[in-house]
Amino acid sequence: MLSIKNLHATVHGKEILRGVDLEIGAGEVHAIMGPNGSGKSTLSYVLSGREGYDVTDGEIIYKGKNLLELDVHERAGEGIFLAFQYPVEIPGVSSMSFLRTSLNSVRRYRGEDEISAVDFLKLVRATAKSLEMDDKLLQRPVNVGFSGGEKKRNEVLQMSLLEPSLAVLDETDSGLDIDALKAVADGVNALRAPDRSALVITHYQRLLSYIVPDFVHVLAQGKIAATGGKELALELEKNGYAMLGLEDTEAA
Amino acid sequence: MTSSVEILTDPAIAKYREHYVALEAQLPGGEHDWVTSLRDQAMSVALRTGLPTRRIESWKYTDLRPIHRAEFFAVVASEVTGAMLEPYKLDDAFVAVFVDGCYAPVLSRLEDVPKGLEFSSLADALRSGEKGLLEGLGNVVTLETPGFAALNTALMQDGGVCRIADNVSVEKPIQFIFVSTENSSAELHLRNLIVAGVNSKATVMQSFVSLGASSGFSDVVTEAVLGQGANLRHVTHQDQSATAWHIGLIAARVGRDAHFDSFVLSSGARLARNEIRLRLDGEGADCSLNGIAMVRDRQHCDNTTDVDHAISHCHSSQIYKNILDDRAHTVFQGRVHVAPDAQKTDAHQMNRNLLLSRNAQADCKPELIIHADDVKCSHGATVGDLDQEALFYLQSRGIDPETARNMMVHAFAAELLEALPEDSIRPYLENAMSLWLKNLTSAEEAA
Repeated sequence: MLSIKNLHATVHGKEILRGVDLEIGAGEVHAIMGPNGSGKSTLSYVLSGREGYDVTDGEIIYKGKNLLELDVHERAGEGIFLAFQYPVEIPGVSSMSFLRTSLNSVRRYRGEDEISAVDFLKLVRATAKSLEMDDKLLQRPVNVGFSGGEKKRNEVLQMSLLEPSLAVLDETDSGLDIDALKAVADGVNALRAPDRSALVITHYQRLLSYIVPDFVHVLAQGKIAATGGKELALELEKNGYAMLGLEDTEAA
Repeated sequence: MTSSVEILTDPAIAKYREHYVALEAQLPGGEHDWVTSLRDQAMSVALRTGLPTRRIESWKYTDLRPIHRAEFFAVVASEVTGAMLEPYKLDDAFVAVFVDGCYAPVLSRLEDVPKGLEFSSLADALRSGEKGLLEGLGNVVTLETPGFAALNTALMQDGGVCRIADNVSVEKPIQFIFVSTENSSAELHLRNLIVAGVNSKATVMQSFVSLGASSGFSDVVTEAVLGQGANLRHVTHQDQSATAWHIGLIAARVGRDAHFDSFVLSSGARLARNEIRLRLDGEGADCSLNGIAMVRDRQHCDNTTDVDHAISHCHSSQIYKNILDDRAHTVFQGRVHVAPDAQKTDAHQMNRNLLLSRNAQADCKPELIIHADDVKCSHGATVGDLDQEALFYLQSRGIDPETARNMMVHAFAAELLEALPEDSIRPYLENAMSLWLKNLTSAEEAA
């Protein structure tokens, strides 16, 4: 599914990723943990193709394609979805028109027919309901006036609609209460399938109790410092990043 | 050291002196003394005051010299069919069409005008000499104010005259379409008069459009009188060819408890000025002036407002948004004057500018002159480009960069468009905006 080799990336000229190697197979869920400033979010932005995040060395092959040659919207069309740590508020753009434009853009990219207005409405309502999300929220502009939890549910709603083959969740658990966390995790778990993978970026083990990973990686100083099974997350929770000889700047 | 005597006569106005003498007899209403005297008086003011230059404060950011240098020619008759105008006509509206400044009844749609709404072309009204029909003409504009009002009054040729009787509500919008034909390069002095009676209600829209490339000059003055409790909504859609010139002035007098609502969508002309001067002169009078300018290439668009709070307990609100690309230039000048006795005035003004290019320029000048002490007045201005964070968010959801950009530009204007009443004007303006955005994308693809 995804193969990252010796990935080096800079942000504003500063090297953040210093040789990341990561293989994600179809159907697998990988978690990336690590202290603040280790490059977790940078990795998610590099995967989605954000401007200003420059790859200086290495490669990313996704489903046999050179991902780095694709534009942001093409990557989304190819099935990469980034759930933002801080979803963006867009005053003046209605949620429904945004969701429909997004879904139809991705469908067109995949050579599928556009969805009719009626079917779209049904789909959005059903998806919102499954996420315990008040669909009145969708009468507002994108994310405007949403609470932190509502924004995260909205990310998962978009993910459910677009049915990505690789979902990248960037600290989706931050700022969530336990109910929202469960709803978000249920949404992600509902998408699990043999042909879908996920990369869950998190600072804490908490989310991984609900979205159980196949592999856990620790990213530190721009490299994968350790890899293990789900038990690695529990050990880190208990002993802190210090067990790997790392400083956790957030805990400090 | 020698001192020279400055010649006070503005050279730009001088050419009109001969023009006026030659033309006067042919102008409509020349057989009626009161019309001739109105024109003569206006011409003498025009000759005395001249045309504005950038040395005049209210014209500081708009240079008229290109208009003075340009050559304009007489109208050449050109056939216009109803089908050609169809895209510009509002659905479900009374429509009066003016082709190169001349009323064209055949192309108009004024059947079934309800009782209480009286429409006439200005030329017909002037020729009839009926003073009643034109009561108010020349009473709202101040000829001495720097601008084209005096020249327009002297040379006015045609336009729409609308009178709405007391207590009459006209449900359908009344639309004046001023169309310039292909290659026309005429100088037109258009004059409209809207008189809204006591407790009347109406919507008037003016559309300025070109069929093909026109390089004419339209000088347009609209006078509006709102009686007590009247509710008048006025919409301007200025979408003339990018080689045309447009100087528009709306002058309104808003009576007690009356409400004047103006919306200006300006995307056309090489140089456009949409000026609104109004006087709130009855307690409880209220006005809302909003506008969107969309300009590209080297277009220049000037929105200037002047709201005179002459009496207490009046309210005014203004939101103007400009979208600029390439080397375009916009101007917003908003002047609010609060008279010494105009206590409890509530006046707000906001100008927001969206720059899509580093070479575009937006000038903004709010001017609040407040002589009363118990008032609420505010003004604000912003200049910015598109939110890169939001653009990335949209694209990360599969939306291509052009569509994402257009969604964001549309969002910038949405606050104003969504506040428009749900009638046939709103989709008309939304469509005009979408067309402009579409051209924005295709121009870039061609480049």
